[in-house]
Amino acid sequence: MEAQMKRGFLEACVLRAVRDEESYGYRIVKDVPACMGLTESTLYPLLKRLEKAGCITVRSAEHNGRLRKYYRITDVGRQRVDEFLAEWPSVQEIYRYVEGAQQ
Amino acid sequence: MTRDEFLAQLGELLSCLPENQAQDARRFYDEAIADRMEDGMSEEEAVAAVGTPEEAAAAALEELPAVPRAVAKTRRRSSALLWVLVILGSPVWLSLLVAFVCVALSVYLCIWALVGCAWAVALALGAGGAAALAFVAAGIGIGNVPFALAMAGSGLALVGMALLAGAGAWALTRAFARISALWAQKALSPFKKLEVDDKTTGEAHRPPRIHLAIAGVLIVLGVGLAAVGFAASGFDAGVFSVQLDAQTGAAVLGGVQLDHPLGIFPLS
Repeated sequence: MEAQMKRGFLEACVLRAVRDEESYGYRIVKDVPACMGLTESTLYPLLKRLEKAGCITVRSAEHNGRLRKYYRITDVGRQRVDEFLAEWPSVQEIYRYVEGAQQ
Repeated sequence: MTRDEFLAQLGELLSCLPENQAQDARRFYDEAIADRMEDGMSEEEAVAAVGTPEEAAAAALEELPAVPRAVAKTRRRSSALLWVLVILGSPVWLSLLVAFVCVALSVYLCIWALVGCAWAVALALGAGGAAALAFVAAGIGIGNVPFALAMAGSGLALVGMALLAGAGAWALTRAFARISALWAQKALSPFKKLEVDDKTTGEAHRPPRIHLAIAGVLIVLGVGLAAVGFAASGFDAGVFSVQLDAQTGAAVLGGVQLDHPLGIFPLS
């Protein structure tokens, strides 16, 4: 997948993964569709970036005698998801156009 | 690889980062490994599943600007190698750097010289205007009305042009100051992460352009007066001329030789 596009998709996927309830690193990696090939080394800078942009909040909580970081979406993050979804019609249009080249 | 080995290697690879950032990355991978082990993987499998320490370190460094990242990556191999490269390469990079800085500096100075020229033009026009206005008094003093009119007219027109030129020079100065700030930001960007602030420079809070209106009025008025003076002199271009000889003390104002110039001007 083209890098810039993948970045946008991954961002949207991660925001989705922390939208309904807070989540943590490993669970986000498991939740995001496998075709994205999300790994910890991709997730780590992505979470940093999203936190810096104010799209998610982070808190540490104890779990089984150790600390685990939980991430949750903010209103800014929700807005970004909306923006991503709003782009779908134009993505579809582009897809149809490119697909037309096959015939 | 055990969890401790993974974390120790990661810590070493991230030693170029501030301690709290390196620690943050270690905790993140520690948590990821612990969660996988809780999920039923063996320690070995869990460590293998989060990737290699090199990948993890590269990802953590990804957000750094270009130069610190390059330094960190070279240092990862060996700090001795970095210094050998820096020293061996110095004849090349040092001279290139000096040349580049010199070119950048001279381009920059040229631009400001241009701005300086604009100010010099404005200043010269203003000084010319002031001198012409001073000769109005002399013209009245010797009773040479066309000369006085011509001087008053050209003085006003010159002051008006000086105002226009000054406004232009001021606008140039501001524009280049803004561009300079942008360039400085660009020049620093490989070293430092900058917050991009898209401050739209305000078309809204432009100062009122009253000085331009004044300048226009002055020029029109001045040209009108000068034309009257020119006509009054019988269309003699000499009416605009001033000749002062500091050595003999002779003065010719508007084509009329003065008998007693010392009474009007304290010439030596």
